[in-house]
Amino acid sequence: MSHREREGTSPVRILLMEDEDDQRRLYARALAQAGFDVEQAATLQEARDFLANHHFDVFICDIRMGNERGTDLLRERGQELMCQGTEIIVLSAQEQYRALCEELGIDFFLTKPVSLAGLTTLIKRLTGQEQ
Amino acid sequence: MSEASTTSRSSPQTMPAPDAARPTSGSIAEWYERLLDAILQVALVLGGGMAILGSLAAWRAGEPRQMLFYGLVIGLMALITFSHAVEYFIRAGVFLLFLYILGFLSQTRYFGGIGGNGQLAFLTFSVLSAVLLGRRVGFMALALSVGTTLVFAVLYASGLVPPPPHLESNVTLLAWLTVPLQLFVFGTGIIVPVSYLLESFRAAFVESERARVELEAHRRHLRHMVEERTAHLERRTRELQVAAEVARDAALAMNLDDLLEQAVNLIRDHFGFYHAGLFLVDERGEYAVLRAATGEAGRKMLAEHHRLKVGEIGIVGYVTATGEPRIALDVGADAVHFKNPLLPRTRSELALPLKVGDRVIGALDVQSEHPEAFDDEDVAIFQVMADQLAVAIERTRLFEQMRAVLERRLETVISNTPIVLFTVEADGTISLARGKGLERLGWRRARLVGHPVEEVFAETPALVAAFRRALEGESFGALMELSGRFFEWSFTPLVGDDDTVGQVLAVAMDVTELKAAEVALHRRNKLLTALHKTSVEIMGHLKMEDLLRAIVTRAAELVETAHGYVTLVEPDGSTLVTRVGVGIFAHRIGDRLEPGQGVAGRVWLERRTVTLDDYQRVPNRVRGPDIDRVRSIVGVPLLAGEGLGGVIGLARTEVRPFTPEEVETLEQFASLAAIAIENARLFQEVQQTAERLREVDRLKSEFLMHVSHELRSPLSSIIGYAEFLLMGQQFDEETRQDLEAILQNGQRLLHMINDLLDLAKIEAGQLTVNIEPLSVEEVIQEVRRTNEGLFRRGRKPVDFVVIVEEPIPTIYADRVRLNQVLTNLISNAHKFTEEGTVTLRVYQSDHHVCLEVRDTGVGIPPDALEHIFERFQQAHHTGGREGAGLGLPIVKHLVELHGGTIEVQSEVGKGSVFTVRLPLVPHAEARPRPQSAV
Repeated sequence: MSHREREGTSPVRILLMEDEDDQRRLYARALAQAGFDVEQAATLQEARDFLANHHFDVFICDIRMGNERGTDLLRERGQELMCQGTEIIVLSAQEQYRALCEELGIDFFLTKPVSLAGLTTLIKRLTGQEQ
Repeated sequence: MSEASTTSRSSPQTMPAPDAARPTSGSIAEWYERLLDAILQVALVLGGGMAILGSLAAWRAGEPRQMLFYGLVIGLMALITFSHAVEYFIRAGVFLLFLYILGFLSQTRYFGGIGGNGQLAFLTFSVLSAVLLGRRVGFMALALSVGTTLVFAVLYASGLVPPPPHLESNVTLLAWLTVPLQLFVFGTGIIVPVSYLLESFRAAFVESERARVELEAHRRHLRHMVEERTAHLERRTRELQVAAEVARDAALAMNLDDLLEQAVNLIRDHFGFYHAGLFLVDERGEYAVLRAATGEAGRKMLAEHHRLKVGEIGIVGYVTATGEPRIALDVGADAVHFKNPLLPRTRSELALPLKVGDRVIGALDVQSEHPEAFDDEDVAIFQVMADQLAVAIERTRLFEQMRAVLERRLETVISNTPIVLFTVEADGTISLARGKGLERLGWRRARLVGHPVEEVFAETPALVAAFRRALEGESFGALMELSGRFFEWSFTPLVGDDDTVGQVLAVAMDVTELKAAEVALHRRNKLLTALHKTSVEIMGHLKMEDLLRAIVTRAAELVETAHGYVTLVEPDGSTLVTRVGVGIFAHRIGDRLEPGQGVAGRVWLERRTVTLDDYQRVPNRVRGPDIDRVRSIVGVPLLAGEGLGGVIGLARTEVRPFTPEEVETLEQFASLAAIAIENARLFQEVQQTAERLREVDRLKSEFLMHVSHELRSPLSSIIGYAEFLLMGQQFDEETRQDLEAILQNGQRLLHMINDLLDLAKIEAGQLTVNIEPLSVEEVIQEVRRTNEGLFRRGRKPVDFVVIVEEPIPTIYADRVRLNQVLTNLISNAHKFTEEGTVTLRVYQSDHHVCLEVRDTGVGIPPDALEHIFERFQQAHHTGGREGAGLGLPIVKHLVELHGGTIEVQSEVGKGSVFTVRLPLVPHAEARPRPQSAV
């Protein structure tokens, strides 16, 4: 497990990539309510832009995004992000992507529907806010 | 044999000579001879003495001539004394003449003169004359002596002759005359009695000689009688012995001809007959046929098939008719004139019946050179012999008949059996050849028997070698081809007492048909084996084109050709289409034939095999560059059920017609091929159907998965928002319960969709597990996390208890799926438990990790228990118990994917226990993955 101890009170920055608006809005609100600083990307391109310009502590990545696949972005940037200390959590309704994600070095693969409490607890543990 | 005959035959030896009956002069003459010998010997001795004395006196007197005279006289005396060959009378006469001369000379002066020795000499002369030559001669000698002395007396007296010196002094005539007187007186005095005595002696001698001769004759007669009696007895004994011997030899003979020949020879030789013959009455009782006879005459008669009419000709005819013995003699009342030119010396004949019981089977005929050679006593003895002979003959004849019958049968059997039977002698000559096989080989018995094998079988060295091998003592069998036929030979050396091969017995059996059958069987077997192999092979083909190619290739191999095709009837039944072709038919694929067209068309039309010895002779044949090479061809129908499915055609490019066996094999092959084709057709259909079904199934699974996914996204939102609302804001109790209802039903719906998805995956074979080592703690924590909300939020007084027993094992399982299994079991337990506890117990048992979920719920009725893991089953359909009944089947499937088992025990009203057993070591099929970083 590779996570850093966070110091100070600066909020955990999270990039949430999810194409479905309802879902994205739900996760964003729940994470914001839990005290995280959340940026939202509805497409792979938006996510690429965010990742190019900002550092995120956690990248929450959906796989099936219309015609796009989140795994493409993970292939592009996954290793780099993890080296920069970004924790990657994959959310997917399709169990069949688990194996692929493991190959790409992704440790956290959560199957939708994801319990909001479970997701926030995991993020807190990863960012050292909760042991 | 009669006494008469014996007497006559033995007469030369025993009958006295006719003159022997009278006294022989020889005897008395002998006596006189001996007397003369004695006198001469005495006279020789005395005379010799006197001659010596005289010679001495003469020598003294100086008279040498006297000495010579004495010597001469003694020599002559000796000569007549020892000359026995000289006639008695001469010898006696010469001797007496000497005496006379002695007396005469004594009258002369040289020998003493009268009154001296002369008188003694004359007296001796006269007496011995009487003794030796009879009284008359004696008196004549006496008269001569007296006369001589008288003459000398006168001569002396007259002085004409000077008297001897010692008498010179006193000679007077008277004195001189006294001398002859004295001589006469004394001479007569001696001669008369001596003569008388001699006469008497002679008479007595003759008488005694006569008596002796008579006695001798009588004695001889007696001895002859004794001898004759003895001989008779001996003959009878011998006759009986011979009779017994003949009967015994007869009994030993196994062969009738030998027996008869032996019998006649024995009889003739032992009894000394001129001829002996045996007649047997023929089967019809008409003739007595001569079967054995002695000598040259017998041989000639046998050669002429001599036979006599029963009851009519000869004594044999009589005997065979009456059964009585009969004697025929050339003398007496029944005199017979024997006129057989072959037997000219026959003087008497005896015929004896040969009888078995009352039946006359023949006659024994014996002939003698002697007249009256047979009497009744002979008949009695011979009849005994004849009776024994008859029995022996009958026995032998029956034996021969039986043997003949047996031999005939055996001969019949051998002659009609397809064998060849040989016996070969040690020197290699064939001594017997039999059997029908000879005929088949074209071998004539006459050219085999008596010839050496080397010569007879010169063109078959193997056979000669085989005989040689057998003659060396080896017993063996061999198969040989002779004149195009097969013979199974068996060579057996027959070893004699001296351990050398005496004969070889060779039997050959004509096994040509057998061999042919064997060859046919072998060929058939080969075909059947090929058929079987072929059938097995073609049955293995399910793809139609492969199958048809295999069929035509194999069928061609079966009949040893390279050219063939298979045509199949089109589904619409209109045409035959060539589907595969090999050899010259390789380019005919796709050809279409109408019914009746070509060989295949004819087969189609006639629905039976069509064979053509030469296709090029068929008038309306199909033509083409390859087809013109077809010669012998066969078309076999492929009959599938009622209809004709197609035709297998096979062809040769030379005229070698397909044999019935090949056709039969092809037909059998075709019947199997037809089934194989039908199978292939059905298989294709099944394949297509299965393909379609699989496609439908796949589409269903895909649809199911798709739908599940599509359902899940909105459901995620519903559940998520309800959870979010409940997490953050404060609502009044009504609203809060409404939100929780949304959340719970959303989650139930989610479970059902998840289950459906799993089921779809299971059915599509897409459900896999990712087995990795998990710590029990980890598993328990996750299960708690998943399920504690259920117990906390639930309004039932049910506690959740977890017990982990030592030793704490490592679990090899798919983390997510194991959680799913346990959560499923726990939520079920919770669902059916109104109060009490749901206990999760983890323990190690044998080689398994046991995960036990126990509740204190309603339990499951036994009849439902056995179906609990089946799809769409649920134990309780009571109100409020929802669910599609997919959970437990999925659980079972998941457990089994781990190589584990699940079982359930339950008691209604008390609760249920589900036990999942997972292997302690990873399941072989599942790859453990590296442990996740958690």
